[in-house]
Amino acid sequence: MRETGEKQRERIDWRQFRALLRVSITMDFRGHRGLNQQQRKKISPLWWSMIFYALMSMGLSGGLVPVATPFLYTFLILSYSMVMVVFSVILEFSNSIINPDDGDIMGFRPINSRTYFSARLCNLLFYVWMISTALCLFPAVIGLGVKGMPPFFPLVFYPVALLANWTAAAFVVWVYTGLLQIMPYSKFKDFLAHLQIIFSFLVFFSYQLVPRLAGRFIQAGEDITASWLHFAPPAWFAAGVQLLVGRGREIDPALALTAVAVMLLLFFLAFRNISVGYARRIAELQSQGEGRKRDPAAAGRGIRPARTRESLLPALLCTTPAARAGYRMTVTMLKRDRSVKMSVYPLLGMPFAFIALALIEGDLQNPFTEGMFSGEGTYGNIVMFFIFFMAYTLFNVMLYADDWKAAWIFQAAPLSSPGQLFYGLKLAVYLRALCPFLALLFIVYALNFGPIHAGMLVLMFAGLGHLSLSLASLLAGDFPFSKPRVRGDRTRTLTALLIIAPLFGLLMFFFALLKVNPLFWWLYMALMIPAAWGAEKIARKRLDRKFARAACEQGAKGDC
Amino acid sequence: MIELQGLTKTFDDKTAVDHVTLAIPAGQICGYLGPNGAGKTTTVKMLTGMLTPTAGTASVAGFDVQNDELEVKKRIGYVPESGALYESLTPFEYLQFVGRLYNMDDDIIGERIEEFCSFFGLKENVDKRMSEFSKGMKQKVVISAALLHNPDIIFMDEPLNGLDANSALMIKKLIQNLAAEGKTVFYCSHILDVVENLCERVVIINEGTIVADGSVDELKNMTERSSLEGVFSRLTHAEDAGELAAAFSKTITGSKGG
Repeated sequence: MRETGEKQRERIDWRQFRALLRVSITMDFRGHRGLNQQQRKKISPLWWSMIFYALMSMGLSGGLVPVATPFLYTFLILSYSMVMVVFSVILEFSNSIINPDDGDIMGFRPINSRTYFSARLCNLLFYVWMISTALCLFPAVIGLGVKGMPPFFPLVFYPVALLANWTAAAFVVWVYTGLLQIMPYSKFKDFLAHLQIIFSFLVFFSYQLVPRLAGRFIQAGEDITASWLHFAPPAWFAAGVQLLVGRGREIDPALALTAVAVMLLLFFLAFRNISVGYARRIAELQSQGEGRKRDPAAAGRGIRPARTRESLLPALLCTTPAARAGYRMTVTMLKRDRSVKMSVYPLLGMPFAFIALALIEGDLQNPFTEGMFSGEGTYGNIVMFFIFFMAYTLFNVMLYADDWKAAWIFQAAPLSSPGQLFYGLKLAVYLRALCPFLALLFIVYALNFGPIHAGMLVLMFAGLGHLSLSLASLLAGDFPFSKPRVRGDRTRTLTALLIIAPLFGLLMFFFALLKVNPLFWWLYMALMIPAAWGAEKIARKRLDRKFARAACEQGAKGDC
Repeated sequence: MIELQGLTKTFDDKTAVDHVTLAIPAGQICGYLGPNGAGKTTTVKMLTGMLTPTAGTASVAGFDVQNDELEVKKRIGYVPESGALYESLTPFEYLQFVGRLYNMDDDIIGERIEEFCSFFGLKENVDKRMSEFSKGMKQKVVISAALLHNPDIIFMDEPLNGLDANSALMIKKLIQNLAAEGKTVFYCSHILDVVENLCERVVIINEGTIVADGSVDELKNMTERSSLEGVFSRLTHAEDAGELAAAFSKTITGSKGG
């Protein structure tokens, strides 16, 4: 009997596999609804992701066509798509490999671990295929415009790019599942959260290398002989493309063979990790959670004397109970909710990378004396983009939670102004996430530009952050922490960011004018302060109206 | 049908289930009661193969839950307390998915879905996404998913959650009929009235150990109480509930915000 059990555990049940895969794919393509039932999502997050990636890749490839050589074009597009796939898989890891619902829904069904995780892996490959299509299909066609590109380039590039992206995804799966095999259960989730933060930071950081390399390569023209390039995985796959289109160099067969070998090895390692003992590990992980829930001693440790008053600044700025509730809840979630932390902290990777690059290269420029975008020294100042990006994204992250259903309290509570709740949320994001970052920026700038220019610059950023938060709340349609996390949702947030990006372009204009006349700083502040204040007011009123209407349509309140 | 021998589960230093020994024959409806955190759900999760026991053995339908986990899972149906399901699917899609996981033939799955949806009054909503459903409607789908493959043993953890009185009555009758057909039902609940009326045997667990096991009448005689509620309070040391509630209601009504 035991032998039968072991055989059953090792064999893939193909009927179950098909059922699992079909359901996973169906759910990938379906939208979802948060607690605010009026918010019917017609386009699924996966479609949004694909639209976002397609737009980005079209922009990148269109920019490269006039200046790049065939190899350089292939290499840069592959680098971009592989980094984006790694980023996407890391960002969506909890929904790609570990689905939090699966334990409760399928833990007691007769599915062996190999069948279950084969289906999960195939679902991930499907997801990467979709993302790769969005990332590489248009560049494959647009690449025909590159001088000297053979006409059958798209036919070769697209499948190679897909293999390259699958390899990138397999790498992430191998690293994560490998860690899952060796980590102590009780520490795994926290470790995973911190690892994800570091990993995301590194991805963001290394992502900065691509445009830098692009500039250098374009200047170098055809003479790309740097030996270190041979260590970059996208170059291995680009070499494969070159060979297949008949433009192979002497080194390309070796590089292409490396690509094939690494791809096979990573697939083997990732699949092996996933299929053996992984289910048991997850089950134990879940049981550890059960134990924690039931441990009265642990629960006792969590009870602290109630904090009834906020510290001075939030107490001054939050004048209503709803605002104080929003503020305290957001601060608590930022401190304690693992998945909120995992969403928030990696966002800091890119601006830190820019600051680090600027400091390393010693080209941090003072926009008041040296201009904003002159010469090479733009890294330090481009941080302004990330203030805008961070504030917007941080706000949107705060709409999601694992315990999203608990947000019923916002519908049940007699909230006269839901906008106040969002105000508290924004204040928490501002004080707890943006202000420390701005303080760090001030120190970096003060050491380079002196405290006055540093202070003026940081104040400009502070205004920008405020405006960005107000714009984000203007577009909000759900209560804080009221939406379930679904694969691709975060990318949709980025797509929405693109829509308001032109406004950001106007603001950049002001920064560039600072060198012409520092008085433009005053003009900027004179426009920014009322704009941010006005946007805040409009957002609050809009949210009040929106949620009152939603409550009315749901019949939750009598007077409509 | 269900046998537990010294079944134990510990999490870190906390023992959730402590040497539980129990045997439930085929065709019996066994109520499994206990206060919050007593170890009811942990016991069920070990019996359904969702948790590995720390010590002891358990067999379900003649198969060991650790060594023949898949054989056990094929023969059981489980209504979890969480009522979790994939809400972006329709009832038809979800039940078809579950049926396929149990390797049922597609034609049979189709017929059974129609019968279940008809019984539970879900026919008109069979192609609507469950994210639009009320809690009661979702619970009906969860129960359907547990019974679709005609399991020999049914584990139910608060199965009446969210159901209206009529639906609850239908489920209770259904459970009695299934037991009469030879199915074993392991029924966890906090609703003592239901357990008293439905279960021929009641097991009470407190702090991980069994403190009582017998028919409702036997337990009443043993504790000299006239209702199962009284038996439960006595065995779980919660007899001062009335005094505590009276004192606390004064705190509520005397508070400024009240």
